[in-house]
Amino acid sequence: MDGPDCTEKAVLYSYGELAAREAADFRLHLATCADCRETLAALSAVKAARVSARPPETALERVRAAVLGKQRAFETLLEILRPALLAASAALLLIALNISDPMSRQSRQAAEAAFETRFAEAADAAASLSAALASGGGIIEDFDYGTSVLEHSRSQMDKSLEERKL
Amino acid sequence: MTDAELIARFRKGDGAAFEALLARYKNQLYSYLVSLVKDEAAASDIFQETCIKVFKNIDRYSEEGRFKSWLFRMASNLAMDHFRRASAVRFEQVEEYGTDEEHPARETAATGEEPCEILVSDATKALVTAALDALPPEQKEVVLLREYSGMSFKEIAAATNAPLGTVLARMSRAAKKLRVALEKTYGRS
Repeated sequence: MDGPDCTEKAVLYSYGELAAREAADFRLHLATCADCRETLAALSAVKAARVSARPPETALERVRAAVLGKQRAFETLLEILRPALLAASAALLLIALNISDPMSRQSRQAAEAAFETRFAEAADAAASLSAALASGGGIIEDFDYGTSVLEHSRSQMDKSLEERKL
Repeated sequence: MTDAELIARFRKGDGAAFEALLARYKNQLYSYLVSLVKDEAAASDIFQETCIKVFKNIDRYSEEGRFKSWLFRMASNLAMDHFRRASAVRFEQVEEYGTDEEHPARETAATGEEPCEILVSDATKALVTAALDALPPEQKEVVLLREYSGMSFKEIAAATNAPLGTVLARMSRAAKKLRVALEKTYGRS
């Protein structure tokens, strides 16, 4: 076993990563190899010198604030946007369903107005929250996502209205 | 509960699952960083950065890989960035101070003291710590990852994006240097 393999085998043996047969062979080799015995002794010393430290509480608090704060902010955003998005989606659905079966001008205007109102409310809420929480850092992308969902809904509605006009 | 189960719960908004994951790895991770960077303030910064980055990107975590490997890989990458920044600063300081005699690190080097060195209780521990510190960063990284993360060499290879042969070669070179460092003091048995 002497040669370049020797130290690698000692390393794998030391960490229990040799197969049973190889480990048995290595134990026999140990009796005749002082270098390998010393390698094992050195690695045992490394294990004995391991540091056992705990992170400072201030570091943990900062992690909690950054991770759970972000999660709470996203939940708040969804809570605020959900009713507005549902209302906007319902209005959109109503318009879409009436493409082939023309709705009255009054119904269409009411549905469009409802969507516009809800959309504006949701966009305002997202913008306000974004501004208020911007100082928290690193959480703006969630609000951008909320706004992008609203933009998508609006473009879908515009598309439906265009199709209806045709 | 497994890491994957805790992560699934955290993704659904369970803050307690995050706390459980943090509690599971915080000491292991911090001890690894303190041993690697030898500076508690820097270790604390890297610890925070690692945890925030990992949990912020938890949606990218694949259940095929081990969470622990992902966590330590992130920590290791950030620690290596720290070393790169620190060596750039040291280079600038050498330029600034001109001669060796003027450099403030000279006194530290002469006494063998590190500004934030972790105190160890006996001579062997101090010797091993000094021998570990003398290793090149990539060798020290493998030794400490194996000691603190409990990952196998195969997992370390995956975590550090290095072939298994390279990881084992680094570990073997480190083991030889550690053996020589201990031989100098205690002699051959």
